[in-house]
Amino acid sequence: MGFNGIAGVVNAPGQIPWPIIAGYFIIALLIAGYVAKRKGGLSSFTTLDWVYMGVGGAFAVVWDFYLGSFIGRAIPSTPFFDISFVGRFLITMITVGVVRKFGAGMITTFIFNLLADLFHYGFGGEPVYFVYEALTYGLFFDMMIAATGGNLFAIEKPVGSKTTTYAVMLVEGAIIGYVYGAIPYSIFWLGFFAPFVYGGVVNWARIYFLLWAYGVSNIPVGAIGAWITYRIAKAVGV
Amino acid sequence: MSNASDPNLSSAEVLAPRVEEEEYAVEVKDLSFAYLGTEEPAIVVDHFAVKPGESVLIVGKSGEGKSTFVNSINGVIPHIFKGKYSGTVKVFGTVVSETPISKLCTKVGTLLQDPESQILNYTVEEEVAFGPENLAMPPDEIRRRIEEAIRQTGIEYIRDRETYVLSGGELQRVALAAVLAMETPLLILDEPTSNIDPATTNSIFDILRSLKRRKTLIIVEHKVERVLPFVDRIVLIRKGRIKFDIPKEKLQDYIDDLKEAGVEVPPQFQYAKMLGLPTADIEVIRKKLKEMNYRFERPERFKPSRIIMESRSKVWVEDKIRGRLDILDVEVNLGEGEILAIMGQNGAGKSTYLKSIVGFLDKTLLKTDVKLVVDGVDLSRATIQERGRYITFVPQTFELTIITTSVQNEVAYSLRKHGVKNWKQRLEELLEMFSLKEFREKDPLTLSMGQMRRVAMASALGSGAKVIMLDEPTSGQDFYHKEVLGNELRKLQKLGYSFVIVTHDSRFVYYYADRVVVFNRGRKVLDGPPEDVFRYSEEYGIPPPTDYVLSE
Amino acid sequence: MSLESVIIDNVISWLLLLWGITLPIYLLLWAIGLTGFRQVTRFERYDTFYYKMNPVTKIVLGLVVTVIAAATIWWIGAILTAVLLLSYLTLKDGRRKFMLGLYITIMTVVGVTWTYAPYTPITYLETAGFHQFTVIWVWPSYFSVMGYLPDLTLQAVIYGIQISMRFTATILAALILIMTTTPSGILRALRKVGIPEEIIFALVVAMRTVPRIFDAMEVTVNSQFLRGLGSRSNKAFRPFYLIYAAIIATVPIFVYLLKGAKNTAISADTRAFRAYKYRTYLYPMTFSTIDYVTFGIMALGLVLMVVAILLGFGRPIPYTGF
Repeated sequence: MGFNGIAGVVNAPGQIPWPIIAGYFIIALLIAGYVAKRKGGLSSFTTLDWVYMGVGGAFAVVWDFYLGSFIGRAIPSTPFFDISFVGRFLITMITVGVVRKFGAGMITTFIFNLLADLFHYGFGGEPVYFVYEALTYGLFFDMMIAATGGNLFAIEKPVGSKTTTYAVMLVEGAIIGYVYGAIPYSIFWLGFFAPFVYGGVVNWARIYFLLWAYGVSNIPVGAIGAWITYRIAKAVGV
Repeated sequence: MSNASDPNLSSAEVLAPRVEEEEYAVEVKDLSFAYLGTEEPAIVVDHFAVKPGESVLIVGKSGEGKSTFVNSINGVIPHIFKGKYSGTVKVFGTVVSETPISKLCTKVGTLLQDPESQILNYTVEEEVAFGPENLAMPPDEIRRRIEEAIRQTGIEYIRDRETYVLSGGELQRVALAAVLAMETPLLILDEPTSNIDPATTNSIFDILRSLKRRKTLIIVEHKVERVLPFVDRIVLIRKGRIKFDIPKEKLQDYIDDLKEAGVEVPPQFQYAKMLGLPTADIEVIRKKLKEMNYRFERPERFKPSRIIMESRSKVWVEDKIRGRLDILDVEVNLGEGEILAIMGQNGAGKSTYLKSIVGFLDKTLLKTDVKLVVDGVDLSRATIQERGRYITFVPQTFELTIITTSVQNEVAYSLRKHGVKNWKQRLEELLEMFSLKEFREKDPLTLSMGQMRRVAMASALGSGAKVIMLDEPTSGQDFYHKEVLGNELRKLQKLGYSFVIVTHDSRFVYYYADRVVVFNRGRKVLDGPPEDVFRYSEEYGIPPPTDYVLSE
Repeated sequence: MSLESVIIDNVISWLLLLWGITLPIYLLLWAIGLTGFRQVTRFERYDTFYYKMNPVTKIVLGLVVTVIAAATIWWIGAILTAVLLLSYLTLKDGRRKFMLGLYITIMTVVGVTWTYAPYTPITYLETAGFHQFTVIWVWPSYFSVMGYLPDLTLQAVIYGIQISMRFTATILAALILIMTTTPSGILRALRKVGIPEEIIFALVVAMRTVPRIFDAMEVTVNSQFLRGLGSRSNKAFRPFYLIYAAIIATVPIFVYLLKGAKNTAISADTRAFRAYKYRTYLYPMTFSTIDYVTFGIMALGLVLMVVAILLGFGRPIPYTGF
């Protein structure tokens, strides 16, 4: 029996036990809820923050449906480099980098998904994808913001000397690149949601491979992205 | 607009001892504000007050504190822009720093310079309704307000359109309508006509004139001459301080201060002062100058010895139903070392012409037939890259052309891509020519707009092109920066560069162009030296500059 | 096996890996023309029933179709797809929209099948009711590192196609909303279904910004060409330079738009954005007869779904028949 696009398979061979996944999302939701409550929820974001997220969203649309699809015709999507994924990742990174408040990652991801539907796909019952993406891709950014005390990529203030600052910025970018690239799709999607939602097959060889391939290829992308974000934030003066 | 006249207030509020304070629409006391990360205050004002119904013009050079000052009245400071803030600003008795903008905005409306970035809704009607809807007004009241605002601004014909298809001038009128729909007693207009054509500028000023006395107006504007007829006072902001605050009748006594501050002084005031006349009426002054046979210093016009660029540009669209619709059909020649200005209303085809010449037009939307010969080389069928060796183009949004991470890389970009020999030496020359040596290592995106424009220009010249096209370089610039630009062009002209400049600024054309052509509905209608063209240009919506009117 | 055939096998396998999903899509894109595709998914004014429906109803329609397609056997999804596809004929420029719908359906089937077929093991297919297997391609052994099974079977492909029937109806239903509702209408509906005002605001800003990005892109990309980008290379490489220039353009355009964002924020805040917890609307949303009829049909659809499940046609994938 299924509901709203979810078949609800929780015992496919090799599937990650559902309590682990449920545990993650419950904890993630609790953290998000707690921090949001402490900081005043959506009202902790200024109008300027919302404009930044809107502008970022516009870039995501242009990338998803115009540039990315055009470029995708020439460069195939592979486990090592997926141009549309990289574009979306960098745009999210820049947007989150100029806002730098806990929740920016989740909200930006949510807005980007909503826009993609608005412009192209239509709303086909995605509440689950929205929550899944916001609480994985988005939350990873937010955890990084929390870990750096809001000084993501050393944009707010330098961390020691100029070289140290740059190093910190690049390392933070690399970490987020790996995590963002490797974990949500491989672990959460292939390991749980694909069988859960579509009854797809759990193939751990593929998961291990992608953990390595997506992860490693997104490390340099993350580092470069951090530098681009830093540069844009400085030029805009945020 | 005092509360005492509001019948909805209780008698207790009417009798409250705040009547004296509420005499003023705006009152500023001991204001000081420094932006985050800076020590030096951007604005310091000991006392400033505006009475209800008064209109005040605020002038000053760009970056000296005008916008900071008005932003501390509408609450943008300290609510959006944070920093070190002290003092008190009151708007109709409400303390700005203690009241959120969302509440202040029922008392003060704000229209900004750039129409593109302040319009935020999908359709015109939604844009105008945005404010009243946010104020949670009943639909009937929203409708009444938008009808009134749309009528006042004359945008009935576009009310159902999407905002992204409108021209800059239309957008700005929509933005004004949206502000008027808030029905605030005080309006702040921060350079409302900087980015738009003369026709819309006129209509905006007409609307403002009609609001005089009905609303309190604070206008920041470089076009002093245009605003002067309907303001009561003039305030000069200089280096973050109020240098003077005078009734407009006293302007004549202060023109030296204005000049020194880099603000445009209407020429009639200068002549009136020189002649010792008590009036600045143009006709009176003109008559007097004629009587005394005054010898005007007319700007020199360079006479080129040969043609460097011959162009004929036809642009049209093929419409399935209506067939071929012509957009542009002009022939323009440029002399070597000449500064040629192109003028005309919005939609006259000026920018389309420039884009057709450099090959920027989207050929999937527009059909083109361009004949182009530069320095004897036929470029009619050349690619953008090939054209780039002979012609270069600096768009109005020049900051968008900056793509590298250091000034020197940006300036070297064209030199290297075009494979210019001795590019390192040329780079040094260009850095020197545009005074960019001290910033050579800096990220160009972090420079000021003026510096960025110089970088864009230097980079454009790197290709070795001798013909330079500039799209609206005077737009949004204050008097001082236009002078700087004009002198820069003259300097480059002496080095053998030729220019085609699209501009709305008649005064700039009068002083710096050697020749001017006027486009109207895609056709060239006038061509000649500025003094000849301005004789007839009004017919095409281009008012001649006062300097010229006085000298004729 | 000869060296030659090993090489050919490897080359084809890699081509399938790299372009397997995308190549057929490209070919289809080519056939229909990307521009045309973009235009037909935009809103156009017209007056048939879909256009008169309240956007909220259309959002609910999308959800109901998703639920039915997800909860029932694959051929019910296929029937829904066919019905929805036929309803495209009532849209403006109906035949073209129908072709678009057909194209999207094929594209979805190809894409989804390719995502599942190479990874679905025989044991899994057996529980899905397949017992005879026909191998149609043998992957090089090292492909197993990437999670590929040794063989691609026809049954795995069929299984993939069955899965795709969960997506096709949903996508077609969802597109109706986009094609028959003004963007403003969609936003109003989103407010109605509880999306916070701030997020709607960000969406509005985004929609307003997209055309500005294209204008800016034109300036930045062309300026690079004018300054000589790609001028010394072969003309055949020009498209790559276009891509390069467009990617490079992102940073200055981002900076340009983010700088302007301050004005947008001032413009919104000085017009009472978020002044109250709620706001009113010039045009409040209303439901008409068409909406009520549609809700009735959707309710009937859900009832039929329950009946189908009770009759044993309501299994989630895999369709094991028990």
